[in-house]
Amino acid sequence: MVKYFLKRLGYVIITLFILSVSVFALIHITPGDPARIMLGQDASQEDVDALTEQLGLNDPLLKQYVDWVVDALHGDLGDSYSRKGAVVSEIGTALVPTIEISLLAQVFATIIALILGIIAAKRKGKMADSGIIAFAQLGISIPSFLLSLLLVLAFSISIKIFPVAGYKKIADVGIIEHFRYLILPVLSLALMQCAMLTRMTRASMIDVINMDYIKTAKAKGSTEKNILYKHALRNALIPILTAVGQSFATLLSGAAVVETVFNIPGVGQLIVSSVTKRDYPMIQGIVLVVSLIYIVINFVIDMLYGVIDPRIRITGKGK
Amino acid sequence: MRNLKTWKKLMAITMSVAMVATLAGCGGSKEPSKDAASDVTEGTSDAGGTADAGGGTTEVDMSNLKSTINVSYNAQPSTFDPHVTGATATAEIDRLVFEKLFEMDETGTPQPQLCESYTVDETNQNWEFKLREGVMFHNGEEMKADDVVASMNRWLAKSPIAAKAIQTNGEVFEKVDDYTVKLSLESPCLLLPYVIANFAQSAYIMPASVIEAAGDENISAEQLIGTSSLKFTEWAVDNYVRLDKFEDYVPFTEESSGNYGDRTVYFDTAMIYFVVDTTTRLNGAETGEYDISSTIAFSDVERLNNMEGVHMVTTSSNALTITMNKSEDSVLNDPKWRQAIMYALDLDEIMEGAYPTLGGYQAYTTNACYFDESSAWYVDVAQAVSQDQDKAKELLAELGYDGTPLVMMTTEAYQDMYNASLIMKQQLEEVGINVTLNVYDWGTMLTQLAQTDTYDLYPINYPNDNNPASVNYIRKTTASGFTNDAQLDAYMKEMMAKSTYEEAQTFWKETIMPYCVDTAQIVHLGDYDTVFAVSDKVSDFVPYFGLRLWGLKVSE
Repeated sequence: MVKYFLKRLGYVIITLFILSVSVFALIHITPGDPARIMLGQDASQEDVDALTEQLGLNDPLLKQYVDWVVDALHGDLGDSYSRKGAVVSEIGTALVPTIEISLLAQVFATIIALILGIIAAKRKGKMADSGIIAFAQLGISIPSFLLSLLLVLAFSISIKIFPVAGYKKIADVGIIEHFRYLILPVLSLALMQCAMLTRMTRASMIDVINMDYIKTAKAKGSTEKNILYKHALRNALIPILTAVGQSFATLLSGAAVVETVFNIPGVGQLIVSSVTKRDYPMIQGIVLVVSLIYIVINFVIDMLYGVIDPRIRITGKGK
Repeated sequence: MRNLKTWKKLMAITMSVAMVATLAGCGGSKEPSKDAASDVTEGTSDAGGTADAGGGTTEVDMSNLKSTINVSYNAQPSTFDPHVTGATATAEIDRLVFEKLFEMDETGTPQPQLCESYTVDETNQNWEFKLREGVMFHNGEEMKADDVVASMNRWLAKSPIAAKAIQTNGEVFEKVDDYTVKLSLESPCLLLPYVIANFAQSAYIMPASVIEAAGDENISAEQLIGTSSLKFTEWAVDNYVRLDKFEDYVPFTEESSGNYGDRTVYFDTAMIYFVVDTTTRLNGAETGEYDISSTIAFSDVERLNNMEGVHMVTTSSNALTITMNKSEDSVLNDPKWRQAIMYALDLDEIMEGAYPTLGGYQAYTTNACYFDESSAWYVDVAQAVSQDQDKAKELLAELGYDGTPLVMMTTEAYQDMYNASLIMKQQLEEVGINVTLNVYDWGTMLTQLAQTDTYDLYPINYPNDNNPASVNYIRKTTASGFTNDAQLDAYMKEMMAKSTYEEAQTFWKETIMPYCVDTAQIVHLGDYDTVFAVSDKVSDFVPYFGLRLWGLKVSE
């Protein structure tokens, strides 16, 4: 287990290194002068040059990168050019709403997807299965901005039961009102994830249901419920878990479109505005944090494999 | 199998009906309610309201008014430090918190706001400002000369506009006594009050202690301490700014005109939400989430006019121009070249392309003068700038044009600029001028401005301050065109030495503006509106260069 953990850690470090170098190089070769963008078009070139010097942008690229890495290893991702606050603090603030809506969306999507996927697999070829496939297809096909706007049209403007946009703190409006503002963005994110997970669950369950050990269980007289949930689902969970992990990590990296439509001050909006303003420390910081999130989630998923399938725990291999 | 096919057909029909029903809900007009003010209301910067519109210390019954008003705004500034940036988003929010020595009234004339009176000698070089006594900062301190000196000198040092407009050479504001400040200039500057009252990169007054604490850094949001009727309480980044009523605000007059005068507010809290998506801002107005939504897209005006409980308010506060690179790196350094371009263009067609007339609403006015018709500095120069393709071709022949393409920059970040550039390219090519159009994102385009060997011209919009003191593109060697015209400099200096505003205005109209047109310093295409969606529960909302929250009332 320790060997496994150390091996994974090694891969993590290499991945982060390659990623950080790539992003650093990409943002520095992209046209656009952060100092000029900060000062505006009428600032004198002397003022722009002075600010460029102050920001350390005249230093050799290698020095800039090394300085950033050394600081990052100490937990300091620098100060934002455009917001003046510490990058760590700004990202932390933006992560709160993003984590909130992502977590709610993922839980909702997973529960519904499991139920629908199991029903579809159980009733393969029947009307229920066709309906669920159609729902999944629609969910995957519809663009996120269109879905968001349709939800706003239906539930904010026509029926007027949910607010049109915004993120309100619990301390300001209370818990019920806080969540009332989150329902539509959560639904927008959840429906798309649910569609994808439903398909994955259905396919995985169908694979498993046709296995010999399921036939053996039926022959031995196990109840349908027992077969489905104790034998089939557990074996089908591995690929489903992978999909859940990946979709959650994707949500956490910020659904910029949904955040824009519903005006959620999350990571998605933050990365878009940082790129527009050439806020190098913020861009690098967000990429690093999001990468770490992906890595942690994948690591947790890997550990959960061992919980679900003891064979992985013992041998380090699957079936 | 037959059942499955039938089911599939049923599903397809059901989903089609659902989609059609949903899309049908998007359209349809509703009859405005009888109480809704569905007519367009002009802002004061256009036709002008009454001098005391939106202000006055007459007792107002606030028991039926909302305590918190909600506003959606289209952009979040990077900084709220007013001395370092000309960003409109910064200026519109800062002017709710701060005041200046002079503020523009609705006619575009600077009036003493934080100064009670002022004197200037006959050379227009030696100024003395008598400050109002008893003006309180939001931190409870009284505004005095030390604060004004610190603020004005910081503004002179930090703002690229200030120093160029005033033509300072190291002169600074100095304290005479606790309530008197002076400025002794080497060059005459009749329009100093105009420059001080300028909307962008504003000369706001803040405590000397705040400036000292900030040092060389920008003033942070926590340090925003002004004298206006609203104080800065909180900035939730990417979400909102909260402004609360300053209880110790006492207006010095009952008059309220433009940015000048009484700024009494009739609510306790203003929440200004940063909502970048225009549809979301409009949806929020429709559902009552926002009492006022700013910068509604012109394509949504028809929907806005059909909304129940919401009406449209407009103000003309921006202009679209073509800035031409007059540095040594561009052929447009030659006035003849710039004239050829000017004669090639049909301004009406460009403005219509940039701001299409939809639903009967025309959002622009074609106007070749640098200021709009409401300005005391306006002069009609349409005849001199009208399209004349033959004249353009004649000038090109005189120049011996060899077909080398002009390079035009543009950006899709601003649809009006992008559309204008497409039409301009077409019109220039009609007279034989080849054009290479380079499309950048906004950040790259800003960076390119300093690379004068990479472009010749570009469309861009400016806030319309309506007076020569605030116009970037006729000042020497700014990135707004790199103007470098000795005659123009001489004319501006002569204007600044005039004795009265009226003399200066006459000189501008008869000499400087015609010279600018003859030499095509820029091509001023026209002015366009900012559209607000305003709840019918809001009364006395009179925008002036954007949000102006004092004076308005919002019913429960």
